[in-house]
Amino acid sequence: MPIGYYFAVSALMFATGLTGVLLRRNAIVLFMCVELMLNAVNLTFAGAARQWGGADGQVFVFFVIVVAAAEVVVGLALIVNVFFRRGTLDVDAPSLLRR
Amino acid sequence: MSPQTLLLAAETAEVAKNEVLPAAGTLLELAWLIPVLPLLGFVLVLLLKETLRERAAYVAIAMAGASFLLSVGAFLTVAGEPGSYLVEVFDWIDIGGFTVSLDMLVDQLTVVMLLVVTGVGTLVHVYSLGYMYGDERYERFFAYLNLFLFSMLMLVLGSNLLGLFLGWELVGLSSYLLIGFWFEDMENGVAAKKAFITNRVGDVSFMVAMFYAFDLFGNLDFVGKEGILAQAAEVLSSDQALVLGLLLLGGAAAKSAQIPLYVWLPDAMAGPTPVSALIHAATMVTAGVYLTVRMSPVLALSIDLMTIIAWIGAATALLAALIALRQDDFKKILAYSTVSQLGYMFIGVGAGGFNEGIFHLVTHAFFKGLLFLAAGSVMHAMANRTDIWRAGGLKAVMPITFWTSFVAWLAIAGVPPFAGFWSKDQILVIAYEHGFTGVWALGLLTAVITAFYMSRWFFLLFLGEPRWREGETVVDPHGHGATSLHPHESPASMTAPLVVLAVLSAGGGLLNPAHFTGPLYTWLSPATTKWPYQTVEVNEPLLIALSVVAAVAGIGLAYLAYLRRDVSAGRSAEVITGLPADLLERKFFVNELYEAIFVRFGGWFADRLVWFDSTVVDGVVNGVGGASRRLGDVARTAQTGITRAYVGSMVAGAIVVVAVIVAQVV
Amino acid sequence: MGLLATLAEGAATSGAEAVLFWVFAAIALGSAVAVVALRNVVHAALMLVLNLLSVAALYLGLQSSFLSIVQVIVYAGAIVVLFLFVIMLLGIDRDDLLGTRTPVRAVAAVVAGVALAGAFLTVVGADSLTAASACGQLAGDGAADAVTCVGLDEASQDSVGFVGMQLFTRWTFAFEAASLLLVVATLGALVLGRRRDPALEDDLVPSAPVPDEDDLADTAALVADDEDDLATADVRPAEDATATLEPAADRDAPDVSESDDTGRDA
Repeated sequence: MPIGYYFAVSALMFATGLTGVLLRRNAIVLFMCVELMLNAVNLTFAGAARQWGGADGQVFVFFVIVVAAAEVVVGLALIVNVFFRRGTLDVDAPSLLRR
Repeated sequence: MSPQTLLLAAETAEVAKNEVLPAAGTLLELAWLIPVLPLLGFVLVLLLKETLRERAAYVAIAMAGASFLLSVGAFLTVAGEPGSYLVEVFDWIDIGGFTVSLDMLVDQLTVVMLLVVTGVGTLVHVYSLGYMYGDERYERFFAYLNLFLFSMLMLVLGSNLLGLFLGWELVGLSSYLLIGFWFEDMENGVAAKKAFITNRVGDVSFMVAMFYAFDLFGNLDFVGKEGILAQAAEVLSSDQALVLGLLLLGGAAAKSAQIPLYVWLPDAMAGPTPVSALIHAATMVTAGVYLTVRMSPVLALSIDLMTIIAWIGAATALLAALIALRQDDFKKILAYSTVSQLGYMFIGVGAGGFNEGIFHLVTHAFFKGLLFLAAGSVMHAMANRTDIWRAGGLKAVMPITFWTSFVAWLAIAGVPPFAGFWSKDQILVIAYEHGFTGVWALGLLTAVITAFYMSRWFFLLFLGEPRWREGETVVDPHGHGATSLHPHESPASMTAPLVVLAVLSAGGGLLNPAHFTGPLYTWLSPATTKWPYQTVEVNEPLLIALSVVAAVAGIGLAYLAYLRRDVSAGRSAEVITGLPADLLERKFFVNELYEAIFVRFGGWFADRLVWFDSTVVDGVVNGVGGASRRLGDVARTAQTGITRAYVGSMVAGAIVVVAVIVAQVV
Repeated sequence: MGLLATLAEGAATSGAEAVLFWVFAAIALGSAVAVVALRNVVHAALMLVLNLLSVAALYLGLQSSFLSIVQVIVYAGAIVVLFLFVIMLLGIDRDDLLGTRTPVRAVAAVVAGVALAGAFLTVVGADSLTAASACGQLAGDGAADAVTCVGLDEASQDSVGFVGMQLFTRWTFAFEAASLLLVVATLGALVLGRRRDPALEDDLVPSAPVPDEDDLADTAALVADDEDDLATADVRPAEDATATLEPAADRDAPDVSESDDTGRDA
């Protein structure tokens, strides 16, 4: 398979995830959409790794997964915390920055 | 002036010029301590003011004294092996090819200045111990004195124009602090400002001179292969020397109170009297003379420039002497006399007698310092009253002050064998010899007037009947309201410096008792330039006789006017002489003229500027501010506080970036 | 592993890769859309698992069997489980916050997504869709600027060993940093996850922060806001609970809520 197809899938997945980020207000769903975007990027890395024969792409995906795991742990902890404090998962709710 | 031509090098008697020697391995390695010690004193006294209290004075005196001892050491070193010593301290500015070092130059000229500045400076410090006693800012005064000493020493020791200028500016600052020391009195603050601003005018000229010198020479160093002084003869044309010299003269005229920038000095008498003695006799005002002598290889290249300097000096000497004739404030008389004597120094410099100019600088430091300190002693006795008409007969109550003043009076009047006679006479001789006959004539006339007004000063203060009453109620301008008058001799800390200076004023002539062959002349010759133009045959004994006659005539006239007759008659005679007297009393209306030209016009111009500033400039500034705020109000709406809105704008940005990239590739 | 490697090699060298790609690409994209579109959060999470698994299959097609395994274990096995765990813990298995407040924004979001996808696809370009692996072609020509294919064989034959070698030689420092990051993240989650219940922690944390007036007012304002926007939503247990929690807030700071409303919807 030519690499372009993988890139196309990756692009579409990324755009889908991003649309989700823009569309959904539930913090957990939003988070899942971010995971979608990360996966899209990972797919691009893996594809590029094969296309140019380097191992760095695979190693990079590995690190992205590690960081994503860490991010999910902290992110979900934050979500739980915010939910207990505010009683909502609406990401638009904490708009303190506005003031 | 008869046109003069530059002599061929072979025709001038060659004096061995200085070699540049390294200071390493000599006592001069410690030369940097000379200015640093007073600076240390300044810092220490200011920091430990509360702890030290009155002991602060001793710290300051110790620093000044140590500085003097080091200067003596420097003198001995230079005397041991003559030359220009370059004391490397550190590089102040180092930008690519342009380096300005804070190195110190110690040669014969520097050593003379060092000894005068630290010597008289130390005496003034000691004197202030008694004079300033009880002042509420006693410690601060000594800190400022130390700062001033530091500044002046930096000026004298600078090894390049910029280093000298650093000290030059510091002197301006510290003199401002000292003149305005009693700033509670509005007048004193105004006087300090006047001194500072007038000096700034000269500073600008000096700065331009530095730029020009850098343009011509590529560096600002005095000595060394590339230095200004060594290169001057090869690099400069006569016209360039004239321009550079005039610019330097602008700076020198401000510091040394020459026409047209002398107006600050008489007003600067507002400062405490020791300050007057330090600044206006021994140090600050001599800075301009020092600068011109230091730059003598440049100045001597243009006979026009030398002529201008000599005439400025002569005019200043005469004008200030005339004004001094009619002053009623005995400190003001001394102030104008200082301006006048500085005029003599400029005559000396302009007429090519650089060594003679420095000689007069030294003797003047002795006798004028003494006169100021004596005046301070009288003020001390008379509850700070400076009206000469309400003094008199003080001989009886203050014998030491009287006798020391007696010496100083004879010295400044030019009576042999006192110091002032030798130095003033040598300046007049050199002016005549170098063809400045007109200048010489003015100088001689000034000598008569000097003898006259100084005699008036001396007679009215110390001789005759007292024109005050014991126990009389007077208002002390620096004390606390009215006190009763009890004239008394000053304490030992004040009279001791008087005695030292009196000895120096009496014997100062020994420094250079013979023209061209005296010790000081020989000493300074390697560091200064010899007159490179033609000279006139001179009958020296005749000129000396004329000088003596001038002095005696002046004193005799004053005796007739003020001592033989009743003093009140003398005074009324002064009053009825009409317009010329008014002219003198109002100081030739120079202040009024300056006020009309600079202050009024300046004020009008400043008003226009204020208008421009408040409408146009402020309008623009406020407009920019207002526009920013309005723009901010608009931009603020973008900050919705909704995280996803920010994500949206990021996406929009990403799309734009991608679109741009695609557009460029395709 | 051996089986997977064989499968991957086979996929790469035969038309099987094309089949693998088209099937799992379709599943991946479909499940991705489902994650975004499904209202039920649990369903969305399950769709995410599906997506992640199909991406893992795509990795196989890319001769990255190690990544494929890691994807399944870490993402599908750990991360999504964590998601589900949180969803269950908070009791929000129904997403009541679907969509934006105004339809305009929803349209804008979709337009932005489509535009971005379009932009990306433009960059990817038609050419690359037909281009074969640069590795095989260029290296085969023996040209000076040939792309070296170091490691590709190893990567496909022994993916785990190869990536492992890379990780512990060239990327050791990054690897150690990643491990540190995980530790920090764990600690951070521990700190953040502590429940701030004054009743429970009174003796432990005497001055536990209590939401201040502003926060309460803000939340209340949001509640009011949501009621307007999502009047059609069927069940809203979480919001109702919140609304009952702070009944007094509205009285305390009505001005704040007013301005918030107008500001946000303007």
